[in-house]
Amino acid sequence: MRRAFLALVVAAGLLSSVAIHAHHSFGGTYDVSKLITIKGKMVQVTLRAPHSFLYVETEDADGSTKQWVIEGATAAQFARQGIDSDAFKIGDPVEVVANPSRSPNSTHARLIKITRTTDGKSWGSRTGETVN
Amino acid sequence: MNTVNRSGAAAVLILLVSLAARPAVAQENSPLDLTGTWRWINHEDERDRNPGAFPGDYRGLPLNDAARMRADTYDEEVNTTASLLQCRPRTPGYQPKGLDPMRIDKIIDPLTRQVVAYRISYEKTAGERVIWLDGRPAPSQYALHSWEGFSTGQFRGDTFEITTTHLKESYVRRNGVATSFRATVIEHMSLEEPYLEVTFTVIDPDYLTEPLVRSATYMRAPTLQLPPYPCQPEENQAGEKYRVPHYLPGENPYLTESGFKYKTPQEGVRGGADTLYPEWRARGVTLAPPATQSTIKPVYTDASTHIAERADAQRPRTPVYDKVEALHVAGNVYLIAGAGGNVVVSAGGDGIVMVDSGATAASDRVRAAVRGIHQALRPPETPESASPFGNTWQATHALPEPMIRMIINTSSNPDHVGGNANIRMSPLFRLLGYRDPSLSLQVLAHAAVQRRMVESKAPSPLVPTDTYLSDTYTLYRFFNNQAVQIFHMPRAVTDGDSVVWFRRSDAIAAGDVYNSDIYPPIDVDKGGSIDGEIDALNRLTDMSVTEFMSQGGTMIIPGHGWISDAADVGYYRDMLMVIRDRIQAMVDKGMTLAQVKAAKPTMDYDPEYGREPGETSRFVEAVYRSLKEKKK
Repeated sequence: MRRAFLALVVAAGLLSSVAIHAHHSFGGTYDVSKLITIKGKMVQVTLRAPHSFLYVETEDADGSTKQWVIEGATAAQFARQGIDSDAFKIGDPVEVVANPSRSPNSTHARLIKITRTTDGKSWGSRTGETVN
Repeated sequence: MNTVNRSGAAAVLILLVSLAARPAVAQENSPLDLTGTWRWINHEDERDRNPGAFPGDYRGLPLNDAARMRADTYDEEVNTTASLLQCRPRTPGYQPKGLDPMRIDKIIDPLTRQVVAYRISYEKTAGERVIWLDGRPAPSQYALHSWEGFSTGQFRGDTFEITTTHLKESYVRRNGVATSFRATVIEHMSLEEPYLEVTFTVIDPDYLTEPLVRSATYMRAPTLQLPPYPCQPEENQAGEKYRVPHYLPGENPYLTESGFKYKTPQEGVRGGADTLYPEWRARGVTLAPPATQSTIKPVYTDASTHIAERADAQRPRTPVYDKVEALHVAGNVYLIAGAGGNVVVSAGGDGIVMVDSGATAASDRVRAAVRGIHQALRPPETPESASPFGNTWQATHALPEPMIRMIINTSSNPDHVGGNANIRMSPLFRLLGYRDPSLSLQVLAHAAVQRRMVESKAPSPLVPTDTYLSDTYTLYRFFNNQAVQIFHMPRAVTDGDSVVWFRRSDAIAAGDVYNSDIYPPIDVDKGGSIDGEIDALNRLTDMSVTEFMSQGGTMIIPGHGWISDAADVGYYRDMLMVIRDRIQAMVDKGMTLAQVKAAKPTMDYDPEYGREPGETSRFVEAVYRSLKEKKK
């Protein structure tokens, strides 16, 4: 029990550093009180500093497509969470839980959790969501 | 020997032994040992760190109304769309509020073994801050501003004091509260092992009414290694680098969010010097926090909102050209500043190509500056010319006087073409090519410049002799071992603007398309427009490459002001986009020019760009007219 609690504390500390390391203000860029779900396919992964970006293409009912820009941690932090260049293949279907941008009509969002729906594997920034 | 004498001899002996134990040369110890690696302690301002500052939260900041308006209309998403801002490092006015660990080293003069400077590296900064201790003077007012700025330091007792100027525009909070390029930052470091306390004060004549004093604590971390930080900007969507998210005044829906969430009176959330003092607390406790999160329409009235009006009410200053100076820019390109419009020269074995000639009354000083550059030239380590004139170095420099081979004019503005006649008639003007001057390039500009000057009956010796018509003009030969390319920027400040790119030196003379601290002098009657001006700035930033972390690399010399880089031009472009969109919204509402001027659409940028008499009113009118004419 104590070991589990300790692990939880360590995990919380590690994961909280994701937000702390933000180069710009996530709270200013995104509405951190809201969550949206984006279902689509991965079209590009760029693991970078200061932040990485996952590009997800969604299809509307009328067949038109939209590209979402999902901002996440720096490449080094993603690597610690198990997201590396092999985590996704282009075209992988994904489901993303994210904070929406505050900017009107923006398709930018901040990554909270991403699931590769082919096998259910997920990565997230909240406690207990590190690697499924 | 009696007892007294024996005691005296013993004392002398002890003294001699102790003196012998001391080094032959006296050592001077610094009051503090600042060197080593330091870990930032995240123990305060948690909300500021995680999730980060909310829009509209200005608590604890002695900001003025201009800063408030600028932050109220700011959208933090600009940091993800603008690739020039993604890798923007923090300046010393915010850095200690970041979480970066830092390393401090000494730079020691190898001959005197004295500490001449400290070098500070942070995890997320471009390079290394150098804090000079050798008493060197500050650089010229025309020198490049950087994220680190220019810093000097001195020990005051047990405190190390750092003063930093020449900073780029930045922020004091990550929600758009700006600091000006005129800001000074003073840091005080004091050591209480293993803690290093850094108190840092931002003095900003443009956006703060009082010094902003904050502090942060670092802890000695001897085994800490600064990790690499290969910051790579990313254009997230095609064309997004030209998008500048922002809110029109009165339309930001988030300005009460912080007060509502944290149950704080809105008057306190809006900040200002009054709210920083204990006396305000008695008032604050009587005020209710916002009951809901709603859009507010702030009113801005303090002295900072009248800067442009006051400047416009002044008589235009009589230009004085008694402080003309030459600065090295890059490669073999130099800036001659203080002569009206900036004059840019490439100087080398082939002679001198001059971009613009300054004001008429400054010609003597421009020629003197050219002589000074010429005399300071040294033969390059590698041949500077690949042309038939490749061995001209000795020939050219055997002459006591420099040879000005041609002038390129970036526009027809009088403070850029005013010296054309004096330079052309000077014995320094020795054409490149034919003996017959009529066959050689003398004064080159876009055809529209020549046409406008002829139409306005400008004295003929001022009028360019040679013109080009296409989008791009490349000088027919390498000059000082580099290609010189001229790009026409249609409908920017006028319809004849050119920027001149010295390719090997990677320096661009931008003319009045870009000015570092005044609004662009758009002349609608001469074919200028705000949209064309923004297009020109986009093109300038696309031509430029930053060295690392959004600074350095391609040097851009403005028509007026200091040597700049792509980040400076990017800021300038963003400012113009914001103002363009505001005035466009007013035009769409059917507002008259008088109403637009009364609404002060540039008010938050006036502290930085609106201090020249008459310039702000003229600029607003030019933007309004070009947007109205576009609508027709």
